[in-house]
Amino acid sequence: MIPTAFTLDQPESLDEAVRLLGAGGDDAKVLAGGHSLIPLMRLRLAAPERIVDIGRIEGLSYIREDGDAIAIGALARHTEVERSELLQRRCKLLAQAAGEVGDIQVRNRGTIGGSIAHGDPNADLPAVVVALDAELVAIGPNGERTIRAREFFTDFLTTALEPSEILTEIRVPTLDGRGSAYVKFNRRAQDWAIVGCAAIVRGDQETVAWTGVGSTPVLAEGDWRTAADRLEPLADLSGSTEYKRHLAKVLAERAIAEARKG
Amino acid sequence: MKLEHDFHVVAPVETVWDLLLDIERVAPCLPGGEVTEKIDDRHYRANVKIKLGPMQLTYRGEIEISEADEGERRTVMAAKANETRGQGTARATITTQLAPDNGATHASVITDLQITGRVAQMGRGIVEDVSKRLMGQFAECLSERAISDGAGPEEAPADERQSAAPTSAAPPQTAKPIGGFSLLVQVLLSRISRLFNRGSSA
Amino acid sequence: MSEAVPRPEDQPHVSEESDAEGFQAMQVQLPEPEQAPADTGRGIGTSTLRKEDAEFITGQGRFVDDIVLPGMHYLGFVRSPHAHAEIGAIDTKRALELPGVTAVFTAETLGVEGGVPCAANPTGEGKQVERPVLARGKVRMVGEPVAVVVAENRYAAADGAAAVEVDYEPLPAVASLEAAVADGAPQVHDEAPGNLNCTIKHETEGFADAIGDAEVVIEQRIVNQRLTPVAIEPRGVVAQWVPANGEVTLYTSTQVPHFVKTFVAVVNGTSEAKVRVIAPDVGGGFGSKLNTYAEEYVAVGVSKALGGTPVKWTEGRSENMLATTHGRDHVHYGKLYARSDGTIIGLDLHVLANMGAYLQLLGPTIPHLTLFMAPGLYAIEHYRCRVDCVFTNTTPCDAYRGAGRPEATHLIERLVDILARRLDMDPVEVRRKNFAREFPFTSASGLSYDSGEYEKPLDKALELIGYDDLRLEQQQARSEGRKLGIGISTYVEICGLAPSAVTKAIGIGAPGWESSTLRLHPTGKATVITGTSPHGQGHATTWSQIVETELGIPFDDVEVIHGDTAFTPYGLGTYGSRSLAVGGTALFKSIEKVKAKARTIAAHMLEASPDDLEWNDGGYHVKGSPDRAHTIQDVIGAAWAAADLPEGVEPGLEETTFFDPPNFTFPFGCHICVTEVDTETGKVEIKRYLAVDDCGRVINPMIVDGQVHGGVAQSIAQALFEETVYDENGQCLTTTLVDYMIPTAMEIPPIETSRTETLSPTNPLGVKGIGEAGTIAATAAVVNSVCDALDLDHLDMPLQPERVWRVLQGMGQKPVEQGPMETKGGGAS
Repeated sequence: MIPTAFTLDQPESLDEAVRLLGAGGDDAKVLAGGHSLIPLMRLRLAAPERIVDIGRIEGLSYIREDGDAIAIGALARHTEVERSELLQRRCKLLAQAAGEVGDIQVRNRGTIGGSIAHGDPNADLPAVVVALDAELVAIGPNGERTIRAREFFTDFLTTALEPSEILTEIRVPTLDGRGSAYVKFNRRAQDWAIVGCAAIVRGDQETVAWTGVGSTPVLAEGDWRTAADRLEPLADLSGSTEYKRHLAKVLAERAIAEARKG
Repeated sequence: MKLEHDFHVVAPVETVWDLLLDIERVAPCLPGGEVTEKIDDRHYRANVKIKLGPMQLTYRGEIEISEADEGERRTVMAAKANETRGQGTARATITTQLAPDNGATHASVITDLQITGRVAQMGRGIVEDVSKRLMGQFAECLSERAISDGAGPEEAPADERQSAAPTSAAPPQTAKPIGGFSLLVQVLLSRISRLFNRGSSA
Repeated sequence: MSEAVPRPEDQPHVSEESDAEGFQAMQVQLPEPEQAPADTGRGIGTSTLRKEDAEFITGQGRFVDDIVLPGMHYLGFVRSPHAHAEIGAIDTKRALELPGVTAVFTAETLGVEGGVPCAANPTGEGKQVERPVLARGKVRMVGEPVAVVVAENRYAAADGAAAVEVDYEPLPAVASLEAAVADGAPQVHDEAPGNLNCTIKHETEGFADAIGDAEVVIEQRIVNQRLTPVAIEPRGVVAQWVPANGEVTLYTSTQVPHFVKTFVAVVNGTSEAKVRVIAPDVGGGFGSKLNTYAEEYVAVGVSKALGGTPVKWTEGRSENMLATTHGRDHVHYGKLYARSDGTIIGLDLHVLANMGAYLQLLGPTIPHLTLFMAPGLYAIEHYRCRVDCVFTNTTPCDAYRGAGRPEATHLIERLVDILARRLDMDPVEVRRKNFAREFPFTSASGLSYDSGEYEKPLDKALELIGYDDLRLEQQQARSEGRKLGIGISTYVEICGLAPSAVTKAIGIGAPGWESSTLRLHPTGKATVITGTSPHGQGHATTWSQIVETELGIPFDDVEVIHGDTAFTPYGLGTYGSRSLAVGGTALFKSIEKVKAKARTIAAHMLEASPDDLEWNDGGYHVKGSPDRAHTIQDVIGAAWAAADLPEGVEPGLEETTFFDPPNFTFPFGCHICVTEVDTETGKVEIKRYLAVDDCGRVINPMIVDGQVHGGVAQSIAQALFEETVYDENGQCLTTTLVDYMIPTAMEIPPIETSRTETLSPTNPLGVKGIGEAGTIAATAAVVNSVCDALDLDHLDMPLQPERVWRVLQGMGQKPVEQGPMETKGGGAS
């Protein structure tokens, strides 16, 4: 289908992008890789009047060590995250999950920042950054701020970002000495997760976060088995609440087992 | 689909009743709406904009109070609207029953909702989920207005209500003034009071 | 090379007998083949690479959307969001104000008086309902076109369509079969009380008495869920009306250009002789383009209303999923009567078939074919069947790959498996015991199966899959707690549509013959002009192979023209696995006619008698004097030059045949599927899939394999993935490929194929059909396999993980209506 008409801006600096977003107000949207926003636009479920394409802004796709964290520029493509030797070595969970996003075309175009800022309840990376207790850096008209991933996802497709803020960096901890894995369940290869689970283990400690079990990713508080029983996933064509809750448990078991393999 | 929700307003039933029938005043409680024309005391034209992340639906239509039984404290409203970008239609019959509750009011709303177009194709789950959030904001605002209208000096402090929904991005007071669609929007909501009272969902 | 097949004088003779139903069961004698054709490299029997493909895989195909005419405008349809509603005011003001929008038409202003036609009335008493090309007064399904916007480009057309405001007064709607036939259901059409279009019945004599002998009765409700065909190219049209003389040119993505031409003439009110319909390259159809559509008539009407401006319309995918016909959507109530030794005595069947909101071209015929084929390849003597064709407020259902026969095979193969469980017999043995064995075989539904040897593919399949070892492996798996299942599906299907006397007898308002012109050019090349209308089947290749083998003109020297009604003799199009059996035979007969004339001319050139000539290697020579010879190219040249032709022989060499088949053809086979169920998630994995099919003579083994692969893939998709879902208000929930689960290559296992070859006596080539066989056989193989794994009588398709999981949990099956799986209420609980 054909989207509604829009103006396309292609700023070359973050400041310019923030300014344009501010000027556009409610009707301006950021475009990164486009694989979250454009499908909605083609169905006319989203009809922004102004698209601010940040793809030309340089210097936003790095992956580097920064103290005891790894800093990833928001415009890093999923394939770059997947293939990053640094991440594979020191934050395997993120590299592995990035390789599970969509299909190869989506991974070549889509960005980590775009996926996280979009906040799709069935996306892979939101659950992962919640499990990792990552930090997200955003820039806006009032300057820069850091938001905890565990406070970032507020609702279905809604995040803590203000309308004129842009996500610039994702900071993940290193997982030295810890095992991790991301497991997702779908009916068809390359589909969104019906339910997905990210797990980090160290000794007895098991950190579990799910996607597809609510309007936002869910971090298991306390024992994940009890937390799973409290889940209230939305029923839809891919499963009932009961079944998805069951999947959450099965996937948590599998992710933890996988994580323990090291 | 039939949606039900109950909520509690810390104001006397007469106050809430009057407010309920005053579409122009209670409408502002729903984020994103506006009354555009008064046809008569019971019949208004209105728009409401519903946003969900990048998605946005703008419904334009009419809302009418088809029944108002003061003795029973029961209203029935009929709303019908088209989405302005061709994304279908929304129709609802909203039956609101008020009951006095120790100087406060218990409100029970049953909505018979028919949605068509792409939103309907997304399935019931999302419609209901979105409804919960909107209903939260609506009911808070309605309560505040009723309280400030009515006699009750005690009320749930604003911060308590804010902490009840810590994950929402905007504090309730910034709900933009709307118009006759607040009750239409009720239509989009489900068991709000439990959500509202117990705080953020898992 | 010798003549492999009989000459006109050796026509198989046909005898006729009538049966209780009043149409004829044909008996045909198999002609004696003279000699198998020599392999010349790319003739019959070779896996010649397709000549069509170079163009397609390099993006040089020419589809409707590639057609651009000067001054062309674009159409955008305004479609109903309601499943059932009265139409009030239609406000076009906002739309007309948009830049680029030139006009908006509704039923009142378009000026097309005719409606979308249905050519099927199986009982002769079906309730005829009108379907105007743009909705008038009422809409009866989501997606029904209500108005059409004309604009300078497709973007303005989309914006314009979104800006038209229609006032609807919704009415109660009904979407599912069982709800539609219940008392008090909303009525879709006033003319069809009880939402019934027609009821088709069949009963063999003495049925009620005979089933009294049964020692075992199997009773099962079986759902064959609604599917969306999803051809890779959605529909589109380009239409131009010439005001000066009423000529119409219509490019349309169709399987039946001539039908479209005939109906456009009637509906749009012009002489059929002035209508030219062109099917350019067509990106698949699967039956969804075996139809005529409102948009075709509207496009012609709009061009006329605009005074001749050409107009284009192409579907978006989500539009396609509502506006183009769906398939299947039956509920079957089946009862199988048998003796305790496994002999099947009788079958009793009640079919509810969803027509949707309107009848498209062949709606009621589809379940009629189910009635015909439900007894399958078994010698079941007693049969009773009742088919109710039911209206609902949904997209119309019509032909979709298999069209009625996948439903039939699924039903009988499931019932036979349940019988085997009940009797604790091997499902293979129950089948073997009941196979029909004498051919031609008259089925309980009155059909005459042309030829068959049902044990051949069964035995081959059992051997290739290693059946006995598989059963051992299954026992081993069970002891480990793993759920491994083996499913068998033995099938026969009816294709090669159709003898015209039969189509008339079963209420189809169109015949079943096919045409082919063979034109020889003076430089020795050949053109086949065929009435078939391929959209992926490879006719250009196959017809060229036949010409090479039968006429000796090399494969590369043959061109095939199709799809343009100005060029081609009237043809009935491509569907129903008919093109080779009927269209290929028409070509064959044209080749025979050409050779008969060529023989006479060659004899004259060689100063011999025609009887003294022999044909081989693409030419004639005098018997005993191989050096006194002329090639077919020589003869073509002589015929063209016409300097010295025998008495009474006309110049040139071009022959046309219209072939009406004496009977359907009945391919058959055996498919075996091995599955394993993930006991934690319910996900089904297919570990092996084997197809052994018999489609008679094989012209191109690679193309046949391709058809089997495609059909099996679509059938596995039905068994495990796809379902078109409507909620109880008639809202379709599966309008994008996110929600409608066509599988990827990862979900389809490698498909092992093999063949047996049992010629058909109904045509000189001995061919049957294969396009739909895969789709017909596979659902039963998969579902039988999973039920075997779960040790369960029955589970309805699609076997989504949750559905299987519930069985594993002992939760019992969720009551299956067509509908999403949801929990009650939406609130916190």
